[in-house]
Amino acid sequence: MIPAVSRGILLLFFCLLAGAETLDDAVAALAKKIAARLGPAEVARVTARNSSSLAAADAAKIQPVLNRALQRRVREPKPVDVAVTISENLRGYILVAEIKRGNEPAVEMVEFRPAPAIEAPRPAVSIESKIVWEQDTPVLDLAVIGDQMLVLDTFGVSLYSRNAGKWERAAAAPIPTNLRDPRGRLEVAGDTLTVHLPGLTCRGSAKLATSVRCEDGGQFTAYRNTLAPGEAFSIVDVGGDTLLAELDGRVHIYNAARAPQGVVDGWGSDFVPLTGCGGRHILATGGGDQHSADFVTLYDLVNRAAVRVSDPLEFAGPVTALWPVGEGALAVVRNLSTGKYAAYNLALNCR
Amino acid sequence: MLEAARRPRYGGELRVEMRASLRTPDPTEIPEDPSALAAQRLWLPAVFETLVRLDDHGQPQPWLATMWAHDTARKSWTFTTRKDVRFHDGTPWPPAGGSIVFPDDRPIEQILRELAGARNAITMRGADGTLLGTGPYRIAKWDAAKAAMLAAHDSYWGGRPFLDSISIQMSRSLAEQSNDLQIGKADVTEITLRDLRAAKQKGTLTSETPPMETLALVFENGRVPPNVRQALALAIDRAAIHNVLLQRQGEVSGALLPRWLSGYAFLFPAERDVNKAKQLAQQAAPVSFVYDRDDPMIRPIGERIAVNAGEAGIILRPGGNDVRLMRLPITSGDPWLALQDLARVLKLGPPATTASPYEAEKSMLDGSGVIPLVQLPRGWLLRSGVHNWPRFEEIWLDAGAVP
Repeated sequence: MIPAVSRGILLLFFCLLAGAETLDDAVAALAKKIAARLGPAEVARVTARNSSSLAAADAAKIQPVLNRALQRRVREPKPVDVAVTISENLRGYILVAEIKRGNEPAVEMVEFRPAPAIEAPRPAVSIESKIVWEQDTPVLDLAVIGDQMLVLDTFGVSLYSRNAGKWERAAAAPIPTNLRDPRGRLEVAGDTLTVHLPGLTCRGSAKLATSVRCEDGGQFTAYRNTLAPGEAFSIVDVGGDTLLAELDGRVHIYNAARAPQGVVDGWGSDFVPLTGCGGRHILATGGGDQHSADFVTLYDLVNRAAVRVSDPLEFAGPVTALWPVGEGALAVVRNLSTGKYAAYNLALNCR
Repeated sequence: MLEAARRPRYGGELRVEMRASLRTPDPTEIPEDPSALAAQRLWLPAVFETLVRLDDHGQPQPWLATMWAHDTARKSWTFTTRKDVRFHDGTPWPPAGGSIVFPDDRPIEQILRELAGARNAITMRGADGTLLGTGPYRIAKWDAAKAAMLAAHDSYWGGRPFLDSISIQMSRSLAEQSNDLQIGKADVTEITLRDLRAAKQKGTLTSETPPMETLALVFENGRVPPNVRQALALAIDRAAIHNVLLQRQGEVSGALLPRWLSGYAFLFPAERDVNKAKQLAQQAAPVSFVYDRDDPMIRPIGERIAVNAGEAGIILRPGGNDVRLMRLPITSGDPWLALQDLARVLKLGPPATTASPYEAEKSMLDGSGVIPLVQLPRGWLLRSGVHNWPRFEEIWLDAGAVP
């Protein structure tokens, strides 16, 4: 709580920025500004042109709406040409009115932000996803055990209990992680919880009843986003071979003697084994970057070559974590629109 | 074509070269030279941070301040500071009480804009006099106007950057930069627009901004009368410069700020009218004209301007200091901050914040004797395997790209 600050006036900046929220608001605001520039006998004669990416249908509405808003009855009207240009800048769209009176036209402007784009429908897929949890803080891993859920994020581990269909936080153990591209895993065996973080392994009770104790070392390399040892992003064993997502950006296949057997291109750096639908497959992320929407696709390894066996399942942002869970997988996605981290359970649909 | 793995790789040193020379890293010292100013604005966020930062849409976002609120009388603002922020020597930054109070009754938009400005970066002098910031990289070495070495700030609140270090070589000519990239001595070099197009066609890795420079004629003294200045503005064939000499890269403009930033650049005329120019320039005295003849992009444009001026009856003589062809940097995604820096480069007073950006820009163009011509993107050549340039904290290198 900030002292000496009255309640109800706590404001985040984006509520305060100038400009209208919608096209209708912007047109109304511009009409008001133009009207204030007109003399008692002057009547606006509006023309509009669209030099922006605004849809033609939306742009076409502006001129009639402005004309209606600026309509006035005067005895001897003096027409004043008002040229409205729909333009755009870094912040959104901008309506610019040039009120052409005399040598120097008066200029009025109103900015507005475009409405968010409607999400395209998802294609039919053979991988099913179900959202389990969503939060603002980056989720590293998540485990649901009956009516309880453990969430590992960059602040630590939180235990949630299901109460009347809702998850309620019951306990928390802070283990802050301050890394770019953070990674972490939860392991629950009976009442024992093990947390793997870069350079750390922490143990405690799965109900967080006792304090979590950490020691150096573990599955993830300290201060890095790789698995230790070996400095790979992902490691999966398939039929006697080992697949490693290595630092050169490629997935390498090694045999049991660690001899290179081939390379898989086109996958992202995260992949997990997935069982079901008649075999053991590999679920892999796409190859986008951290700022683009990602997808997961199911593959089989045939003669050490990747063969796609499902349609891609698309997400609304990059997949920041992909871990095996039972016969399925857990994917954490950073939603590019909301900035939130959503955890999905992924399973195969064999139909 | 190989798909790169999406997860970034930690480690490595990025070697960058540039033409500009920065005398000091101090964000409160604003360089007068336009190219040094552009370089300072590019590099500062890697080392120094502000309470508020502009996002990709030019909107202020919480940065070292996480929220802000005003008092009942709206006479002061309290900024809540981010926790766990440390200076490069490990000294905790957040002030006692976790907040900073600004007695300021201006609209919050103005306050936030000002706080996002480089001169309001949070700095501290270390015990040895070194300038310390809170950003993702610390200054490991600074050789004024020659070279700098930035090292990863391990306890950066936003997470250690992927690179171990960035070395910056300053005052390097374009030819030297090109050579160093070819022989593997540099990872990122500047490139002219003409060469950028050729590099893209060859499939070389490049990076390009929206127009971030306004090429303009700047009158450096009061010797050229207003009618001749206006005649010169009407005489120049901007379209030919854009279409032929710049191979349609950038945008023709009569405005200081590019359209992507302001949205209203079209309000400033850029059409040629030789007849009107001739009328205005009757019996005009010769005008001395200077431009960088060593700059392969500027030289043909300067020559074309001299020809256009002659067609309107204005003689542009080489040398002297009546009018100079300059690259004016666009240094911010906020129109006000960009105009403030332009005013500084043009040696004008700061734009009046009571007006709209359009009115402020119009006033700068009406009064100062600047003729904007074209707006140009900035381009870089990158060695294969350099990712996320120029978002410093997110840059990473493929294994093969590490020297």
